[in-house]
Amino acid sequence: MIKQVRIALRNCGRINPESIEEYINARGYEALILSLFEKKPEDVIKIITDSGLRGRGGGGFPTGLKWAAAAKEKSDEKFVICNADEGDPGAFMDRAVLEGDPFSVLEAMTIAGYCIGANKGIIYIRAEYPLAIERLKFAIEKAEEYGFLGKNILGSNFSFDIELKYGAGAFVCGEETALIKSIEGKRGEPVVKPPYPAQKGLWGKPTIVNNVETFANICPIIINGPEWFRKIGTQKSPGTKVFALAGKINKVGLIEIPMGTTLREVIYEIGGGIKNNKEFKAVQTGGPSGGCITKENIDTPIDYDNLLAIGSMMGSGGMIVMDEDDCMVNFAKFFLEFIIDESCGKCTPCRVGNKRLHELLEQITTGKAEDNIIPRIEMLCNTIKKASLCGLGQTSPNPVLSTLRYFRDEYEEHIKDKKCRSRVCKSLLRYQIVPEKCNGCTRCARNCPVQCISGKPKEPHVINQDECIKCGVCYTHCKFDAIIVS
Amino acid sequence: MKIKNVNEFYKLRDEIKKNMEKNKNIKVLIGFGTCGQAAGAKKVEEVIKKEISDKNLKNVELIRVGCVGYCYAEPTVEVVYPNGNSVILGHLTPENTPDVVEIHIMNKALESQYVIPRNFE
Amino acid sequence: MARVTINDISVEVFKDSTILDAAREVDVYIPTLCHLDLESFNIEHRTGSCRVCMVEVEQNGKSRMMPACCTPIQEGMIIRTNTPEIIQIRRIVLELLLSDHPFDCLVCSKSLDCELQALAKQFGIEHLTYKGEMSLYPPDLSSRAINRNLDKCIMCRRCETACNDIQTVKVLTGYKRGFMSVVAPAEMKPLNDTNCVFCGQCVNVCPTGALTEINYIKKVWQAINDPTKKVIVQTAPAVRVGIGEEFNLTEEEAATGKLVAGLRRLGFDAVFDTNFTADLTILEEAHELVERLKKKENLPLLTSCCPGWVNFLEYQFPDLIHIPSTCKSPQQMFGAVAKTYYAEKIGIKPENLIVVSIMPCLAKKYEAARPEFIKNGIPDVDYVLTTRELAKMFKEAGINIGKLKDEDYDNPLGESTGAGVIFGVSGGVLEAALRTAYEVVTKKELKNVNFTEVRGLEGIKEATIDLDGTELRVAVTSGLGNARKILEKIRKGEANYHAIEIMACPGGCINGGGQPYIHGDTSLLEKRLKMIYTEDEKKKIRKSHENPYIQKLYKEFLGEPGSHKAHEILHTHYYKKCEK
Repeated sequence: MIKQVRIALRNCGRINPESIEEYINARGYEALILSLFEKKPEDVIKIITDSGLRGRGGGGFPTGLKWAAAAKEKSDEKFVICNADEGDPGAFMDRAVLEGDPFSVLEAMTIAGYCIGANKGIIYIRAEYPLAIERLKFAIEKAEEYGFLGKNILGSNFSFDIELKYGAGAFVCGEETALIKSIEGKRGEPVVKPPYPAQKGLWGKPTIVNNVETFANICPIIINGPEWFRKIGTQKSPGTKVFALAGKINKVGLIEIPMGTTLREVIYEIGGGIKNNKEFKAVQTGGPSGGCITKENIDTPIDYDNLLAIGSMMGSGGMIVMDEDDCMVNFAKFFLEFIIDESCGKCTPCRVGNKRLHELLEQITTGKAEDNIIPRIEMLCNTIKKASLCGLGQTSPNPVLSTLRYFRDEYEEHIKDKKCRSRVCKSLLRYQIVPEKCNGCTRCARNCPVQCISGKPKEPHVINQDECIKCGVCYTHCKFDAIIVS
Repeated sequence: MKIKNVNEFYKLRDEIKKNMEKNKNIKVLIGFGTCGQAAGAKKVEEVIKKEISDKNLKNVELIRVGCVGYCYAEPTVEVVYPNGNSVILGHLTPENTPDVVEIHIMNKALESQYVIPRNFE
Repeated sequence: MARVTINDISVEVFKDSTILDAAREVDVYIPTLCHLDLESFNIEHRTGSCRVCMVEVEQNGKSRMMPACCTPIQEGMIIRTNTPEIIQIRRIVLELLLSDHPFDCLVCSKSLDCELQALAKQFGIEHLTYKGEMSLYPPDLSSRAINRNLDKCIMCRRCETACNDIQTVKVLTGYKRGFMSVVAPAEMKPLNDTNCVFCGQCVNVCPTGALTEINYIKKVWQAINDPTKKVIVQTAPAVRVGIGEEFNLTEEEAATGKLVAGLRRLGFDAVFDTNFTADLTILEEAHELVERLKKKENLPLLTSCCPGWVNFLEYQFPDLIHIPSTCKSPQQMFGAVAKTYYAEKIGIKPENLIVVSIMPCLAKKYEAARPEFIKNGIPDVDYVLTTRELAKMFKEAGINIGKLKDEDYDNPLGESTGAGVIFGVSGGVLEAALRTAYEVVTKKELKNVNFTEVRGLEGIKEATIDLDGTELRVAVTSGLGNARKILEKIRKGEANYHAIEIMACPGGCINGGGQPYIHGDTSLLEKRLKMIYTEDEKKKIRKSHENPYIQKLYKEFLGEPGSHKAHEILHTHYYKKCEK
């Protein structure tokens, strides 16, 4: 059986998150001491760079390079920001780390501060995570009490403070430039890069923004060395990744696997297979910015580059499993709904383009689409992808593009045959009464909310298709299986 | 207590280690993240506490921990015995918890219908 | 310097240039919409939000789409601006904007002055590939000055830059998310319930019909057509240098005479000049300055002819309301004099005399409605039209002022000096005041009336004037962001000026919120500025106190500058307004 490897989640569920002693006992603060007293900032950055650690928030940018860029800048003030604004639907690994092992994030941020020459850390955390906030507050207080935070940490001449800032739950604030705007008290909107935050970030000062899971990897890398880390995972994506396994899978949960594990291993070995022994259809990774992975790619080793190559992306680690009962058109529409609610509205392609894209999918799922709709969708997706301002906009058509790539036949069925094979798109369904089976009990007619079923008692009934709203009430009420859905 | 230098840190760590080694309690780690709480960890914890006091069990320590990741089986509890063995128990309810306490805390069994497979080291 | 290639043309540009700058160097045209470069003020709005200026950038072997307006040049970039894909993407972006924009161009007040419309025409868009739901918002007609039509907002955010960064009034912000996003006051409050000072700079920069003036053309036509009313009109200094643009006049000189001729043809019973009361303002203000200098109190004296600025002071610096001059603005002085002195003179009841102002300004619409300027239900100024509205009236009436022969203003409220006309540009009020104050203080003749050190479009100008031994330290600011800097200095006691001129709009009234749209072409402002000073130089009399009709007004009606009667009619007071 494939085992997980726990680096980021190493202490989660193992130690009391409110006990600094237990954290110290679990090799806590060893990495900080190593860094502060035995290494120069550039040495620590080199370790991180050599380890090949890439940003776990989604983009996969090499963490060491980010730190080096900020370290290079000359400034009287610099900032370390921890992005804990986890917003992908279904992703909750950052919350798990913050609730289960808050000290490890504080320690890693302090090390980052030492590396780039920052004395101030900010954790931008969504206000919907009250328990994580409570534990972080407690941990910051304890760390200050013990001298792991504050002035002259452990007698060194390095000082570092951490404060919490609360996000109001806007998805786009997970984008680093929007997050910085939000901390500055402005509307959370991305700004054009370059300049990158490492050059001009919070209050115009050099800033690094790393995600919680990225920080959770730092201390083990420093303690065990970059070679140790590189032995785990693949060559281009060393280490592990935490995934939130959800959807039609038996063992829903949080898993941490070495990069390079295949989807088959995740689903059938760790995840215990598809619920109710149904047929596997696809997995969505990367949330609303990602795409789906189908049966044909089920043996692809999961890492940043492979996922991109098959039209998905790592994202923050949501993994939603779908089976034969899921309609892929409807599924893509679901993510677009999320995007049009969460777009900040700044740039045209994301603000208006995604709205129009959603409307086109709506036409398909309600049987109103014209035959030439797919090229129009593709053209629009291409525009949104290439012309949007930030990463969220640029990736927002991914669910549509990837379902179009792998399930084009399903789209065409919806468009041409007005048929949804998974029977999810209700507008395309047709409820009919089989006269031979109907004995005229009138139960369906009595329960129909729009009174579109007629017939005399004890005689076969008929559904008026023009008035039927496809609610399915007649279907569930019929005791004689006389109603069929097609 | 503020740690003023590296030596003080190592001294503190040694002390913590010694204390932990001396501790021969059965540790009951209750998944108390947002997810565990949402699934009813608090009620299960109350029942465990009640059972411990009703049955007058000694050397049992209840510790709230973060999420272990077995969302499908929440609320979950990990019982760690003084010899280092441990079991993970899932699908707990206030109703089955007394049974669980008897099997795994009183009788220190390593097998039962409540045990869920561990999927990481 | 960095070398890049644009459409196979190699060009070397400064390191901090954008792709757009570089493209302009080599005459490659890249369409823009949200981008706005107000060159004369060193203000560039580049949010990169509309995505109309996308170009393809190849660098280190990788090719990406980037917005030309805000992407800095890097050595070795290979830029392509017109590949079929770029053209398609730009086109779709523009179509998307149009798909959420009302199709009421035929009846939109910005029609033919709309940058979105112009771009659609340029792209040859004749149908939309993507259509769907539109965002619907009711118009905000709460104020007397600014009409907000959010359905037409394209989120270019120029108004935010104008309001928040340039003017520091900070009323506008992005509101709501996603498809419903618009720019609005916080919590979507009606504009009238905010700290808005109605300077109209947001209207000036809006590319579409989302922000326009509240239009009073109909009311003015009604008044003109009412046989029981006598309708007179006053024209502000900056109107004569703006109106010509609406008729594509190419002359280098102001269209003053043509403006007067056109107004007569519209049917106004008398055509007067706000410059006349500008001269009057100078007499009162110079008197006030001399008094304050004598008593050494309430210094520096701040000018008070700009209602946008007065409003700003009342909201944001209520602790300083005692230092501006108590003089009413020339517009309000005109109204007050017209409804007393002039009405009496021609034997008409004030309620039957309608005063219309033509102003380069939106705040003037608000100012005319301030309660202290309405007596017994009769406002001193009944209707205020902008330069743009006046141009519309001319066009509606089939009057092409370019074809008219110059005519003169009527008397007694039409004669003015060179000092009156320079009120239309930043520095002018102070210069005019100096011309009079010098002679009042020194009792000597001022030979050179040109105080060039206070001229120009710069935001903050300082000068020390020698009043025959007495040093007078003066400052001139335009743009409320610059005013804020000076006011904060005054508040902290760090400013040692004697007099400061403040104008809300950058550059003064030539760039007022009611002037013809310049669409980012600030060279038009420099042209207007030049015309104002030419107009000044053409005048035989260039000092306000030498205006014979002003002297007559004092003799017949007001007495002396600063007299009781002058105070009653020409002065006002200010209110502390709470931040809303």
